[in-house]
Amino acid sequence: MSRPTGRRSARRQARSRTWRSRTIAPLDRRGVLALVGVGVTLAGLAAAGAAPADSGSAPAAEPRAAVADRVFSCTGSMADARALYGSVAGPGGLRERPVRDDVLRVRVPQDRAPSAFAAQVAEPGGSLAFGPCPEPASESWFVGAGGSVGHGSTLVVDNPRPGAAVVDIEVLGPDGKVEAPGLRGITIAGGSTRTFDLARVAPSTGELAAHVTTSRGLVSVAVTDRFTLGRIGRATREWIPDQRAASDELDLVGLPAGSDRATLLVANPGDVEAVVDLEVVGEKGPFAPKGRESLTVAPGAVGRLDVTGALDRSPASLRLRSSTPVVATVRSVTGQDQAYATAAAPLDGTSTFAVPAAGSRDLVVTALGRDATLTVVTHAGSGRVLARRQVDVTAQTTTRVRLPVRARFAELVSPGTDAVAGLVVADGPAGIGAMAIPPAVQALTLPAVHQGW
Amino acid sequence: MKVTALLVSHNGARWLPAVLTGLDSARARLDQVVAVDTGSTDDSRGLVAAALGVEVVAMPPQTTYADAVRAGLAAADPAQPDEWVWLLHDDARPGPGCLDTLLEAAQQAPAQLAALGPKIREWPSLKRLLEVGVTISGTGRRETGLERGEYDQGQHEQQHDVLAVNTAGMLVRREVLEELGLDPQLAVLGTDVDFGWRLARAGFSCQVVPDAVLFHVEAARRGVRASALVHHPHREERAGALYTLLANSPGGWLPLRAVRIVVGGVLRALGLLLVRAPGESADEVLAVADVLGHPGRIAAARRTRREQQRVPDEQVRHLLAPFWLPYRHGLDFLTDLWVALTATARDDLARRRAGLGRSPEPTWRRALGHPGTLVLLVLFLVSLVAGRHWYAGAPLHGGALLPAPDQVGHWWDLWSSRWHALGTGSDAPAPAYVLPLAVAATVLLGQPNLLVTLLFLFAVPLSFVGALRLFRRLVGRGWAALWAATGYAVLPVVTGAVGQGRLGTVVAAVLLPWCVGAALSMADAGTPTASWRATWRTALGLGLLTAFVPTAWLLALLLTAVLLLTRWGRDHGRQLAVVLALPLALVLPWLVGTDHAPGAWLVEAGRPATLPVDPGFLDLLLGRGGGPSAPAWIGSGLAVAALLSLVRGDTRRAVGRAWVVAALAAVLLAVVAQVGIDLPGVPSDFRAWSGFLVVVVQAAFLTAAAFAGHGVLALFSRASFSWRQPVAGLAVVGGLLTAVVGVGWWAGEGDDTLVGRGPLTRLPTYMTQLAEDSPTEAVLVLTGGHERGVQYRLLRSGAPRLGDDGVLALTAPDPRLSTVVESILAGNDPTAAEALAGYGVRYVFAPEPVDSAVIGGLDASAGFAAASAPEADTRAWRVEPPTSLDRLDHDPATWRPLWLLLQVLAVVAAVVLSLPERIVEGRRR
Repeated sequence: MSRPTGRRSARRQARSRTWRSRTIAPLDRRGVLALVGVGVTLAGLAAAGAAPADSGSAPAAEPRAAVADRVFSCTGSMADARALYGSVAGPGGLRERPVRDDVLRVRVPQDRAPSAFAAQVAEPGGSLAFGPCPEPASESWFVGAGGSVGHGSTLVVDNPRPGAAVVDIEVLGPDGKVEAPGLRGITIAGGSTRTFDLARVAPSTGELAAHVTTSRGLVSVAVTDRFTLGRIGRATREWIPDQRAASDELDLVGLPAGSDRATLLVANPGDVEAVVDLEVVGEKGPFAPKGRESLTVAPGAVGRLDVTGALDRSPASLRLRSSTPVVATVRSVTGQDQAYATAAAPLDGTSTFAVPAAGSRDLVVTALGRDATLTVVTHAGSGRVLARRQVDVTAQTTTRVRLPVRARFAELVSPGTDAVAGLVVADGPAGIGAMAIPPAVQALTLPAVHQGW
Repeated sequence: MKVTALLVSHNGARWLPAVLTGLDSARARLDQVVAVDTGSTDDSRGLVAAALGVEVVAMPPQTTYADAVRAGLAAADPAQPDEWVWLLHDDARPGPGCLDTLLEAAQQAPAQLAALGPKIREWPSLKRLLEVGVTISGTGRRETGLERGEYDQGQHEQQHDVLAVNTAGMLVRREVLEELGLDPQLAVLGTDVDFGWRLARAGFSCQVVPDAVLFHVEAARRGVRASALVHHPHREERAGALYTLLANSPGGWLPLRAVRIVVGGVLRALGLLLVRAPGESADEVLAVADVLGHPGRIAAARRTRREQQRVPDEQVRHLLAPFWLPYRHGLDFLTDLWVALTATARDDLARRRAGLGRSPEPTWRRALGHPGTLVLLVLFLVSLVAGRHWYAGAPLHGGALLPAPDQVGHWWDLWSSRWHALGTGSDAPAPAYVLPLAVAATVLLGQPNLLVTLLFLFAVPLSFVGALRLFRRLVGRGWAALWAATGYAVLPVVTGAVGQGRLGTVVAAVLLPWCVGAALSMADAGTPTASWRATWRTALGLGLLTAFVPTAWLLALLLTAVLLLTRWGRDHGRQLAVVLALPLALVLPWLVGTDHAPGAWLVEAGRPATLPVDPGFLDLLLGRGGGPSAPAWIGSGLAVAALLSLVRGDTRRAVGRAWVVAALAAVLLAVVAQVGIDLPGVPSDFRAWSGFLVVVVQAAFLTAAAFAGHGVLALFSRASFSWRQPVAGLAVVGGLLTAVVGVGWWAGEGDDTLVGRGPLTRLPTYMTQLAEDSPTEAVLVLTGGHERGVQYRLLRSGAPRLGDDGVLALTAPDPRLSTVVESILAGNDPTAAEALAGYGVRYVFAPEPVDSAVIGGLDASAGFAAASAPEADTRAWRVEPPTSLDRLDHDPATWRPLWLLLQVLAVVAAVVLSLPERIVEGRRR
């Protein structure tokens, strides 16, 4: 090994000593300080990482604002039609006013809006016609209409608001959609009403379903149904109650007890065949009606099924489960009169409704998945409270509550959303009527408004 | 021929003995000596009296030179024909034979030659030429026609006509002097030029006699004499020159002269500011203001002169300086400036190169072969690949980034306005970052979008440049610095800042190394002056950082608090105070506006509360700010390296310091994370994105690892094998992996960002175009529905632009507009459309999915007509009533102009004070 190499190795050894003496030095004050730095850093990052995660998200939903006011359109178009309207919050109890040629619009100011109600009643030809006055909506379904001489329906479309509305009417029949070219894009000026006779604009036989949608604005629609029972019978009239969007789960309420004939009508607005399963929810529990467990409806068509045998004199509702969203009704015929049962949304809060003066007025309540406890408050025509009654309904059963004779309007209070209810009216041989009780809140709310970001 | 000497003295005892000696040598030729003293407080008067043996005329200290001369002549014997007066100053010593030479010339002088002056040389240097006659330029500059510091080598020996000669040593016909007189409006400085000019217009001439020599101190001009009349020599000289110009110029020239004086004054003031001469800059402005502020004085002066003028202006014009002379001076000035700047840069370069030795290779080749340059090139190319979707399209936007405005004027308006027509009207200040963005975009020829795109596209290479410089300075040149700089450079992308459109973090990452570098210079600058300059630079840098990320100022506050615990910090308290205080002045208008929204201090540039922020412990430790970013595991190598860096003993001090910085940033991060920020314009509390603090923590990790890693391989390869080698190896590999994998991820996945150049808004084009053209064609956008409530946004000019978000965040929503929208949704208020029109809303637009309440409400309300919407399921309405801005909140911010002015002053001061000194000898000889 030459001298330079030796010198280098000696230097390396010296450096190595320096290195060791410098690097293997024990932790001095400086080292402790650095370790404190490490500790604080990790603690700080851990604290920051554990900070609540909910912040930084989009604004949370805020309480809904109540609608400013409501307007009911009582369309009349029946002889001697009368509007029954009022509000629990307002003075004067129930008011009654005849509906003449024009639509009677019942406007309710904001303070009385939540507990307001309006219905129309008539006795055409000795039978009983009864139904709620509709409120503006963007979509309405009417199942059970007719477009022929024996069974014809008239749509009364009212636009009670200042802006113009544009309406499309679609008609479904037993064999699919009915061609009705004149029923699309109809402009209805603000504050005006138009009437459509299905027998003229969409002539067809068999059961029809009318679907009214707005591409602009909201309209109130009522359908007056003219029905001749038998070949030479008298024509009776009834309002077909409106229903909202199609659904694959329907609870039809308002089935009069012991009717002569009950027909289930199902409209399938979809593009695929609907298979509808039936279940009767009776006094003791649900059961499938023998031989009438299901119904198949072609796309765009209205199907029918006789369900008379499935229903007896006990209170019941009809539950439908469908493979695709459908709209349905049950037409009950007793004597010379008919009534329509419609799908009801679960009760929610305090629903207020008018009760016509008739022989018997029964509230038919069906509890859904859970036991339901409801309170029924009945009022006399003056507004005085007649009775306050608690109703307990076992899950999956239906109960009938008879309303006092003098009751002219009532409140149905449901703390939860566990029940659906319908009002069934029977007036001796003269006729029957039915109405689904709508949940209170939905029709009353507007979304909260705040500045976006 | 009679000769009278007239000596005026004022506190000149320093020079008088020599002056009197000089006068004594000429005594034989003098028929009479008159001495005037204007209230000297030293023994000038006694000296003169003793030496000359005459009675000295005593005048008060405020006496101007003109009045002193007049008093002297009054005290002298009555004037005789062919009598000449030799004017002398107490700081001007006649050379040997000066008077003889002048008299010789006077004897041969024709009748119209009224004044003769000697060549004037500098005293006490005695060699340098000061004047061989003087004239004046169009800008009022006193022109001698000499080079600066020119030596007298006999190059100006020809007796010739000049506009004027200095009153020091001037031999003038007494009758002319008494007829024209010196102008008492000119206190001391500039009397000679004015006198010469008037002499010329009166048909006389003036000549310089270079054979006669006089030595002059120019005591008044240089401010070395205690004078009751001259307080600011520069200002008074300027004012005198401007007065002379305006009083003697021909009438037709006057308006042009005045304009030129104002414009030139402002330009000169700015130029002087640029070369860090704020005093002279102020003198310039004040002189212009003083002269133009007294038009009566000039009118009176012009009247007097009109009576004396016998010769048209054209005949004297050749005596004035040529028109191009000021421009040549301007060019000289720029050259000086350039020389000063390059000299400083060269010094800087030399300091950094010191110890490297000289390389025979050319600089460019050395730079090209340098690993730093290669890495920069690679990062640049990867930038182009990763940002390949950003080359064209609408302005870059997405995530927290709003699109940049089309014109830079938008930013200038935003910055300067007392009131903004944004939303429902706002008097909130523009966010602080608008000013630097506006300046930068203006420099980029008014291209805001180009600026933002460049920042986001090249965030990595831009960060790399500063980081490499900083790390080399911290740990020395080598692979450790290169690796650390690369690790730092990818932080803007791996933290998610680029991908999420976090402008604040992106800009801060670019600026931070420079700011830290300036702060380090405060500590290691060679001289106190340099240290102070670094202080201003640091403050300017921190001000910029604060503008983009206000949290940076809070971190600086914490750091300062810790520094004050050290001896260095206590010794440099004033500098630290400047570093903390100046940034506040630099963001002043915004600062004032945050008094009711302190949460804004935790929110960086970029639209707040747009993306959820929820980073966990590991995210933060591994350098992720929360939200879309690179996978956290990429950063694990760096964390390991930073922890292991403590093992090495000899660098533990530096590593410890880095960890202290990391700890402070982490503490601040923990505090910020706990705060739910509440801004008036943002509907919900939100958690701030803390990308900047994450970057600081990671930068501290990198610094610690770089300190410990510098030279570690060489060191270990020489040491005997122990457990330390694997540990060091692990740290090095870990750190390297973080940088390399980070770059790799960025190249591969970096294009998967929220930011892009897609369409700006879903609004129909016709709406945005109308809205951009007129503030009364705004669009109200309604989103949401029953479930989460309906949100409305008032878009005054299409999509909101970068900077608007800061204003809107500080503006509380107008509750009246909420009420109007509510009544529209209720559909029952026939006046709702008119109310909305009062906010300047022309269209209401609801993007899909549209809630039925929105459709129902608008369709049902009167005054709304359906308008065309581009996509199915979106809805639009036109507001029919005529629109106006009547319902907007029109209150402007009263004091904003004051804050803006103070901000501008602070910016100018900071820029001027951090610029290098102008190395030009001569201006303040």
